[in-house]
Amino acid sequence: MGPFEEVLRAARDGRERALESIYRDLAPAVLGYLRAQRAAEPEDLTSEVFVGVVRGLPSFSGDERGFRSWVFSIAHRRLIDERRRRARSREEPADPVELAGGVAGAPRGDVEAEGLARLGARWAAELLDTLTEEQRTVVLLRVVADLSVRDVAEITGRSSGAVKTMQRRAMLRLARRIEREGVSG
Amino acid sequence: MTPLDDYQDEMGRLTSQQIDSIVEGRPVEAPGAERLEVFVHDLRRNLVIDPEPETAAWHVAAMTAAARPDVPRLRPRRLTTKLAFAAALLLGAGVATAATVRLGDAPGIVPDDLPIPVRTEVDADDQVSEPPRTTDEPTGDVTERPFERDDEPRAPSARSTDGCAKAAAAAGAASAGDPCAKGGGKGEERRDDRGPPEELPGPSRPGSGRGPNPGSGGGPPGDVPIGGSGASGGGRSGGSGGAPRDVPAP
Repeated sequence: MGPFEEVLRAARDGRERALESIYRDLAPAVLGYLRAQRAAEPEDLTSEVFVGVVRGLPSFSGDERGFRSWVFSIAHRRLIDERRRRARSREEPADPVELAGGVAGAPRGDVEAEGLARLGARWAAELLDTLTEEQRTVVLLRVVADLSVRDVAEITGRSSGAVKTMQRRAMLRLARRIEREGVSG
Repeated sequence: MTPLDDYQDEMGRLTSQQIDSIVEGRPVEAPGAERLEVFVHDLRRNLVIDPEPETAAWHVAAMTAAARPDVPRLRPRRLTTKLAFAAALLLGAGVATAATVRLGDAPGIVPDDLPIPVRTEVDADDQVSEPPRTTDEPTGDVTERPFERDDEPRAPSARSTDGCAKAAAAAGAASAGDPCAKGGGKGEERRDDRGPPEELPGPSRPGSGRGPNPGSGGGPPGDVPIGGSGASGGGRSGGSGGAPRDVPAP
């Protein structure tokens, strides 16, 4: 039995250390994905995602890559639910920078590091805003979630070819934008 | 041709396979690929960041609570905040209600359940028809005594029923075909109900000056009191107004 299976078994038994290990491994990417998708309350949504993961652990079967894909499928569904809720209540989308996306990664009290992180988050948010919603989802699932084309296709409900086409168009658009503005994070 | 056009041309020559490799972080030997590799690296560095320690602790606690049915479930912070706010509102409303109730018991503030004193209006004719009584007369009937100031706070149930009894008697007299009841005035009608005039202890007409206790008013019998309220008291109360005009007060 590999280390992942051991962690998974311990997590199914409700052991806090195993649950924390899963969280430490996946939470930064999940939180970054939700922030970049402009979730209204990314921290709360992340909590809901991992609570859903814990509840679904008994029914999960697969390896580590499959587990990662499964976790992001939950995150993506939660995000869509949240967008529907927000559309019903007509809430404004959150600003990922104002949600302290960059600040959280910076050392606390270090104003310079916080400023740089904030700039980086702003840069990423502005670049992603140039993409369509589908292109942004594909890029984020590929880059931030580190999922394969096949996993992204399953999560978004599209074919692998369609995902590859969207990915190519998105990357070319981003590259043009970077070259035009001459900025980088 | 501008440098931007050159770059777009280079990018256009990248295959989907090469872009795939760039996105996955693998190095690609192609013109223009290096810039995209830097971009992907920066994007990942700026977005994949650890949650704040407090947030992470909260999330792990929520996971642990969800994994163990015996541990009470932790609600999201947003919901907890809303619940706390609602509880504070309820507490405030309760304190305000309690304070209001306590204030209602304080002296000087009339509680809501206090019976409101109702003063029955007494017609002048009713008073005229009442037989005058002296203070020497034992009446024995509390309800029959004239209206006094001390009676004011009481609930006037006895007086009200007395009025009803009078009205019922008047109606009975009218139905019996009494000529006085039909043609006479209101005061005479009442007087007939109460018996013949000679049974009255004294004259009740204003200004008569006679009464069973003539000296009590301070004036001689037969004198008309100037300041007294003759219409209400007859001889008994007629002298209470003061001294007669011609006689100096003692």
